[in-house]
Amino acid sequence: MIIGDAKNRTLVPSLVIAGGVTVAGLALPLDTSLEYTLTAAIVWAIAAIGLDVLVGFTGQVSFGQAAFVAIGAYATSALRIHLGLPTPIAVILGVGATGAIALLLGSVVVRYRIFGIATATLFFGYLVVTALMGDVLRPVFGGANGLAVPEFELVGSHGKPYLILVCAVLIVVVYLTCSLMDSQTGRALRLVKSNEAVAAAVGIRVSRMKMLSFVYCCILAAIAGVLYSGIVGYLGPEGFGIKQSVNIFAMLVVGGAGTVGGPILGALLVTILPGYLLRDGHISAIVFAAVLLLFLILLPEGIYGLGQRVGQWLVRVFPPLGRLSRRRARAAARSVRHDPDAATGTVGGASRAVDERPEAEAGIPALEIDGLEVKFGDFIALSDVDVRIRAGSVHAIIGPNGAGKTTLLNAVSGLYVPSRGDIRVFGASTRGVAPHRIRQRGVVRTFQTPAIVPDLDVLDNVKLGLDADEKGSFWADLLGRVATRRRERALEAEAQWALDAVGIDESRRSLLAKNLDLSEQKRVEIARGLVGHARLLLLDEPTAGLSVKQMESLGATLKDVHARFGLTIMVISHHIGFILDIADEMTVLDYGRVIGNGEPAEVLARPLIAATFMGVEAEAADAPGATVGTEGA
Amino acid sequence: MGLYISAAISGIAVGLLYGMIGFAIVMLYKSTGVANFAQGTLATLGAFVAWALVTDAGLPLLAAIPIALIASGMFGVIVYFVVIRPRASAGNLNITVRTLGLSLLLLAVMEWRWGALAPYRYPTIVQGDGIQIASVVLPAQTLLIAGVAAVIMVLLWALFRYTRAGLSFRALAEQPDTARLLGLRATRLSAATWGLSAILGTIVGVLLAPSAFLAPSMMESYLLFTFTGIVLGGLTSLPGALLGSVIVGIVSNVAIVAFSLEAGVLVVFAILLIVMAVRPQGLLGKQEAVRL
Repeated sequence: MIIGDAKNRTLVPSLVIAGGVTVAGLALPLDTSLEYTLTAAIVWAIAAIGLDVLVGFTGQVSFGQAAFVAIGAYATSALRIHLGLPTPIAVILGVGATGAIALLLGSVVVRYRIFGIATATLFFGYLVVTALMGDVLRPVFGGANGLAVPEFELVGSHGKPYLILVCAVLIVVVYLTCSLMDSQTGRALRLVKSNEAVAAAVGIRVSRMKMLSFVYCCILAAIAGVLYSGIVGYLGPEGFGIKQSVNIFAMLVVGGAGTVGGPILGALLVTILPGYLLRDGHISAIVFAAVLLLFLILLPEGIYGLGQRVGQWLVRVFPPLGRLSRRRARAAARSVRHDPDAATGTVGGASRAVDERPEAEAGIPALEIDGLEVKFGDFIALSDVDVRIRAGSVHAIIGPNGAGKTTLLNAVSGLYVPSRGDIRVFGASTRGVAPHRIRQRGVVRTFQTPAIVPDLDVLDNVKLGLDADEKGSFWADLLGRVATRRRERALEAEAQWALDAVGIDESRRSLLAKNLDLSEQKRVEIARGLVGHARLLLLDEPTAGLSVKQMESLGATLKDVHARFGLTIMVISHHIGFILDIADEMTVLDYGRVIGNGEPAEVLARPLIAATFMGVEAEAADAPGATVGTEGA
Repeated sequence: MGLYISAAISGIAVGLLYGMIGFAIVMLYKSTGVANFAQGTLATLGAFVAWALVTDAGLPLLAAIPIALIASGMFGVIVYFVVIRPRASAGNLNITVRTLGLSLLLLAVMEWRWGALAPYRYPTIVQGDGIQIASVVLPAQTLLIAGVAAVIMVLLWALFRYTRAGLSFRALAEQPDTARLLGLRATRLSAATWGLSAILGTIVGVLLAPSAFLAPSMMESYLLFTFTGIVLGGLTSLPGALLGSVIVGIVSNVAIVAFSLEAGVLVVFAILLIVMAVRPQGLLGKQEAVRL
């Protein structure tokens, strides 16, 4: 992960911050200069909140945010000046144009990791300023001379009316952004942030989500640009350079990434400290850079994180405060507690799992792998692998470390593209099918190290499993609980049902997933698989790292869900006892080839296999709990 | 035509300079996962230190440069221990933004100390026309740059290939966690890489300043083109960084001569986007397989 945890349910604190800034700005007797600086700070805060969505919640970067502020400002102003369009229309067109440019740039850069996106956005920022300075666009944008922006109607260009406008926009932006980040869309972004491959396997369209986040980020920049053009009254290219993009990034980092409210505090500090208190000089630049570095090193969580920690400290020192916050937490827990009848009324996994097993009768295998070959460069990881898995059976894959077991699962879930051979899921080939489409056919998998979102609570993590099936709408997510309450309640009922099925205690369900123990995290991952249209469950080493007792209870859970919902399960494990307990059939891999196939006890009894894999005589291999290799120990 | 050829030749020279900066950035990126945005200002600072030794302390240039190189190596190590190492667990993005903050800080200090009278004319190590082949002139400075780039490439190659430190570095770049578990002194190695980066920066700064004129913001656009060269080359490949940088140098120079400054920037950006869209692993990079 490239940046720290994001915070959950930031709506209330963020609105308090935005409201506090508004009240302070309107009530305090500010001199003209401070009022101007404050208004400018709030404008930059809007751009920084956009960047927070991209960086803090999606885990991407942009070092060109100021360029998108410039595009929004220049486009809107040029439309007003040259075409004489009424302000609202000019704003819509200007912001829309910025969004379109962001979409074009985003479609190329989102496929890259941090280095590529950083370079491309930084370069784009430089390019925009160079173009605005240059001769070609001078007739439209005024070149180095800049563009004089006419006053806005009603609010003018400064003073309290303009401050009210800016604060109103800020509050709306905070509300929409917090709602979006706490919704299905926000959860998907956070899974993309924590692991893109896992997100794809869960059914999320990774590139599309990254584009969405990038465009949202740039649209907020454009809105900030429009407001900025009104307050400065004059646009010059030099104010939007790389330095300003870095400044916006600094606002985010100083305020606290992944918080929505934090960037507002960061923007106030970054704008008011050098601009007003130090009157912009060499010393101001040095102090600014030093403050930024100090924050990055000593307080990577930013002001928001510091505030949260001070809050927790206060609760420890003054227990009465704690009682108050506990009451709030209890109220939240009550609203989370589930109603056992709710699941039956929904489109839940429970109701759908029963009636969707025609292939078992029709004799179509759940999975057929024919002559599969997977290559990494010149290295052949799998060759000529054939596996058939009967619908409704439990099929184990074993083999020493490096035999290609995980590679096989990755090929089935579409994360690796085979160089030869075919894979058919319930009779249909997956050749050339994207991972999220394979997921939609009911192939659900878990990963060796639990691939959950560590900074999201357990219930929300399980809801992510429904992303492929219960499509939400971006626009409804923007509006928040008002629009999504019913869907969220249905998702929650499903998630509770699945957590019941895998045996996660109710008291643990509102914890952040990173606070669970390993066996619980693995169960949460299985629950995430169960909630969707899971028909074929691929489990990658569910037993690794578990104690014997935990393993037994996991085995019982698996047998239970297998029997109840008629799932087909393909499981990798090193624990022979566990496999003998749950598996109907077994395939043995070694050096990327199948060397044995059949009923587990019978296959293990073959002298060749016992000798190769256990490194022991055949009779010892039957001992329950015996392990192959040391991975699981 | 002659104009384009000489533009291309000076393009190769600046491309080699981008490439040397690129080496430093790629080395740090490979071993620590951090993109060093302070590399440009480190180069400028080195050039300023050498310049100050000449003008303020009255040293000859050839004595000032070695002192500046040693000083910048030590400064790089100090930067590592003061800015990068504390709380390294904060994540790569945090550290990357720290390098941006460091860059702002060094820039602000240089502006405060030297900014008022910038840009300065910078003394050259060699002068004159060097070699003339037919109608094409290879200026001495260009030949010097090419020579220094070649020597540095051979030295770095020998360092990675034949020394213990080089082997450790490659191990760290390949498998950082495993290398640490095997008892590799990652801290010492990272500090050394920072020192080496700062030295490479100073070499580039001193070679660049005569043609670019010395100013605190001298390296801004250079750093951008360097990063572009690195992405073209494939992010983690040292020869790729050099190849990409030389391509960027030639293309931008020729485009600037043929059209205008803006066109030069635009063409390089277009190449960046095209390579990113068509060949995401870069020219010499390897496709990385995600391990799950």
